[in-house]
This record gives sequence, structure tokens and C-alpha cells, in this order.
Amino acid sequence: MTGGRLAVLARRVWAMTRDASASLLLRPGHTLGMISGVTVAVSSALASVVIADTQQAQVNLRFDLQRSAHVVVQAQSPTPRGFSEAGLERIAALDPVGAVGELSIWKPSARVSRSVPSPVVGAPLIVADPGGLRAAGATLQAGGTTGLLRGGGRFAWVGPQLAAELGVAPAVGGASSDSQILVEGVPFSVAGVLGDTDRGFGYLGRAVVVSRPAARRALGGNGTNVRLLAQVRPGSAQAVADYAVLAADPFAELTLTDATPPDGRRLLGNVGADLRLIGAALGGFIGLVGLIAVANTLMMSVHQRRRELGLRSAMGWSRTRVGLLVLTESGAAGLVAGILGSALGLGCASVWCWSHGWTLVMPPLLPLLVLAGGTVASLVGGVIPAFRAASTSPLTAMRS
Amino acid sequence: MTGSGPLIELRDIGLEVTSPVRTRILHPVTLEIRRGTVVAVIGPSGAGKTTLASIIGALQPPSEGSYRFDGREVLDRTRNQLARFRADHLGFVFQSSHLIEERSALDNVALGIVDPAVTRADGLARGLAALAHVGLDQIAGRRAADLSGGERHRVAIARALVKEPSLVIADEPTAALDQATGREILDLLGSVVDRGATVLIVSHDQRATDRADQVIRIVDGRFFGEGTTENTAEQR
Repeated sequence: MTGGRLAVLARRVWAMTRDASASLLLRPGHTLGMISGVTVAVSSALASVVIADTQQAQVNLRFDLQRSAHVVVQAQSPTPRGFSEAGLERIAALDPVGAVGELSIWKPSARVSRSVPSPVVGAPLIVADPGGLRAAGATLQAGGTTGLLRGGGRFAWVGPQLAAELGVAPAVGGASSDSQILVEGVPFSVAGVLGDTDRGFGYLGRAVVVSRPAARRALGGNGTNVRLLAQVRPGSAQAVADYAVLAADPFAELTLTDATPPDGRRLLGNVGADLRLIGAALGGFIGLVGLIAVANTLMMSVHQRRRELGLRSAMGWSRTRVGLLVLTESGAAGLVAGILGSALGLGCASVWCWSHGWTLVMPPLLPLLVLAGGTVASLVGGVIPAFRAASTSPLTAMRS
Repeated sequence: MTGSGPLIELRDIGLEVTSPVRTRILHPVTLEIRRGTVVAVIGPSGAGKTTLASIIGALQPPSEGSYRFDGREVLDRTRNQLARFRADHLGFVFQSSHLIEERSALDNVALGIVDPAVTRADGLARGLAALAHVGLDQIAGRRAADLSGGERHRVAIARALVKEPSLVIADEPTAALDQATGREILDLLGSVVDRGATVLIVSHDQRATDRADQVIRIVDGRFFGEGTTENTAEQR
């Protein structure tokens, strides 16, 4: 397009905008009706999103300490061998990983009793290796090392509550009746009693822990809940989980899935996203109402201005130009409403945040987005009235 | 204007509507209108005068016939081409002047300039000149709502003249005006030919024929005669 043509086009656009603005100013009642609907929509959308974002920032600040420090990867396919040493070593080599190993629930409620006649109790039967117990933050209160877990001997470690319930204690300097228990009717020697665990692993307090080889030989089967547990630095859980799935099972034999419990930040992030969505939906809904208000007001305006529009048409305005005039009016009203609505919404959100002592957080492009949204909504609302205006016969001027 | 022949040539132009019932509004008319003349279309209310003016003003298509303006057929044009035709060649003065009440007299006149390429400053200058022609340049800034009936008609005439059209069509320009003001308006319209335009005055007011070079009489949708002021007076 040459400079001359551009200049003519710019002059035409400017003339149309000037004409539309004059028409809007001549009918303040109608204009106010159009603008108010879109203003409310824009301001509520902006305020909702800003408040949601600010709230999200506050929540993030307060929940930093609650972030997940554990990764759980679970096998969907049955496996007799569990996780390979090489795979576990690959994961352990990662910098944020403190400990890693197996911590599977072989049976949620196994029959456990003393070897001497005594009542049988139900307790979770856990299959673990030393890395898995360390990852769970489990300490040893009494007895021998958990290193024995690697072997296939019939050794068991029991949680402190279960030890107290059964009245068992680790054997010291040889087997004793206090160190013998029956798990599913199979005798095991109690090699140790577990102490404290990390938060989230309280069930170990009433559990019996055995090695995978021991469980397979003595009890049979593969277990139903084969899991790899890693203790990680807070904030790295997602990245480690993604890596662990590949590192522990590079050939996808176990069909591993990330079963890491969602950390507080992620959960709250979802809540924040939901809040934003609700805000946007609310804004959209009110925007629809604004759009209808614009359409309705403009329809009335077009009806009342039939004579004027007919006159313009009689004087030689094309249908397109008459329609564009009305559309420009709706766009200009939408733009003004967008600016007013953005300011109003931002003001309301600022007051809200100030009253709660929060620091206002706002995506930098949000005002522009809602401004564009308001203008577009107003333009859409003006389409039908513009068609109506464009179809005004020039004869209307002669006959009215 | 390009040719030296008649400005307007109508051949068997008529209008019949079919909805809601078949009605003949205007029986076929054949006539010519010369350049730079004042033409009065007279007849009683409902006779079809305004219909004829609407067809000549390209506001309404006829159902039959041919209409040539400055030697070129008008009826084969598209709607946009007709709008362009009106913008380029025609000026209208409507019965109720149709001013935008809240705008100034000058703004109303400038509204008559349809060409978007004309700058606002140029448009206002031309509007002021047109207002001066009708003797209202002193009240250019006054709101249309504050103007008297005669002034409103003058502003409407200025709006029609501002783009210097070939043809000015005035529909019942003296309706609702007192005798003296009506006379002034007719004189003003008559003087438009001095600017090179042709003037078509549609009226049931016999005074419209006083300055007419050509008088077209229509009764009940039928072309009832054509002539000069003198022989039309004889028919009366």
C-alpha cells in the first residue's frame, strides 16, 4: 500500500471514529447503558484474576515448608525381583536424592503372633531394603542393622507399637523366645525394632518389615504393592520422579508410574488455578451480560436513529459505511468501558489486598487482555445492530 | 456534468407493488428534465409525487422503465454504485429538514459531504460557505434544536448544496412553514440554479410553480401533464 493510500485510509478511519464518538456523546444515556455493562464485566474479571493470583502468591509463601520431600514410583506389573541395584544406584547418584530403595506393602494386613501361643494380630507386612527404610526416615530403636534386609534369611524388623503389643524384642547374643514371631504362620527372628519415621510413614510403627528374598522364599508370591521410595530435597520431587521412572526401569518392564503424593504447593497451585478459572468464568459470564446490554442498547439506538441513518444513506453513504459507523460506536464504547473497567477492577483488587495486608500480584498483560476482551465483547454485541443499521433504506429519510 | 442533452430522461418509468396487494403506485411516465432548470412536481397528497422523486433520487427502484442521468443508465447499477451516484450528483431537502438536533448548524451542513477523503477543516470551510449562501453563516455554531423552522430548512438546503450536486431534490419544502417563510424557501431553492444545479421541487403547494421552468402534474399516480408555469396555470 502506498503512502498516499495509507493516508487516505487513516483519514477515513479517523473520520469514522470522530463521527462515532460524536454520536456516542450525543446520546449519553444510551452510551452509559452500553459502557456500564462492559465495565462491570471487565472490572470483575480483572479483579477476580488479580485477587486469585495474589492469594496464590500468599499461599505459596506460607506453604513452602510443606513441600514434598519424597518420591514414590510404583510398579504396575508384578515382579519377583523388585528393583535392580543398578537402577537404584542411578537414582541415588542424583544430587537432590538423600536415600532411595524399595518400600513395598507386601500385604496390608498379615497375621502376626508370637511363636509361643499368643493372640494373632493383623499388621501391615512391608518388604523393604535398607535404602527404602532410610528414605522413610526410619531409625532403629533396638537390635541389629537393617543391612540384613538384603539377604534371604528369615529376619524381621517390627515397628515400636507392634513390638510393644506382641512383647517382642531383638535377640541379643542368640535366639530367644522373645525374638521369635510368626508371620502368616512362618517363623521369623526379630532382628530389630524400628524407631521414628518421617511424617507420612506412621504405618511403619505397627508394621513387620522383611526383605524381598525372605518374603518370596518364606511366604511366596510377588507382593501387591511394589514401590520405590526416594527421599529428596524439597522442590525436586517432580524432577526426580520423572527421572526415577526411566532410571529404575529403562526397558519399561515394570510399567512404572509416578505415585508421589502431591505436595502442598502443587495442590494449592491447583486451587489457585481453579480460582482464576472461576474468576475468568465469572468475567466471561458478566461479559456475556455486557454484550447483551450493548446489543440491546445499540438496537434501541439504531431504531431511534432510523431517520438519521436513512438520511446518511440517502446522502450517499454505502451500507457498509453505515454499518461500520454503528460498529465503530460499539467498539469505541467497549474501549472506554475496558479502560474504566480495568481501572475499577484494579482499584477494587488493590483495596482488597491492602485490607488483607497482601502484596498485589498481577500478570503484566492482564489489563491489556481484559481491555481487548471488553472491546471484542462490545464489538460482537454491535454486530447485529450494525447489520440492522446497514439495512436501513435510504427511502426512510424521504418517508419519515 | 458532461453532456449537453437533458440531465434526466425517464422512459416508461412506473411503480407497482405486489405486497400486501397488487397496487399501481405510479403509472408509466416518460419525461425529460433539462439542465439548470427548476422543475416543480405538483399534485394532491398521495398522488405519487414523492414516489417519482424517490425514483429520480435513486432511493427506490421502479418496477419498470428506463432512467438515464446525464446520458447514463441508472437502474443497472448496484446498491453501492447507487449510493455513490447519490453522493456524487444528488442533494436532498426533506420535508422535515432532518437535522441532528444536538449538532450545530455547521456540523449538520458538513454532514452533507460524504467523501471521506475530504478533511474536516475543508469540510467545515465548505459548510460555512454553503451556510453563507443561505444567509445563515452568522449562526453557524448554533444547535439545530435552537433554530426556527425557516432556519432549519435553510440549513437543510445548505447541506444539500455543500457538495455542489447536479440535482437538488426538495420534497415538500414549504410544508409546515408560514406563507412568508415558505416563499423565502422557494426563492432560495429557485436561486440554486444560479450555482449550475437543476432543482426538482415536489409540492402540493401551487406556489412552487411560480419560479418553475417546467411543471409536472401528477394525479392518482398518473402523469397528468407537463408544461411551463403559464400553461399549468391555465389547466388550473
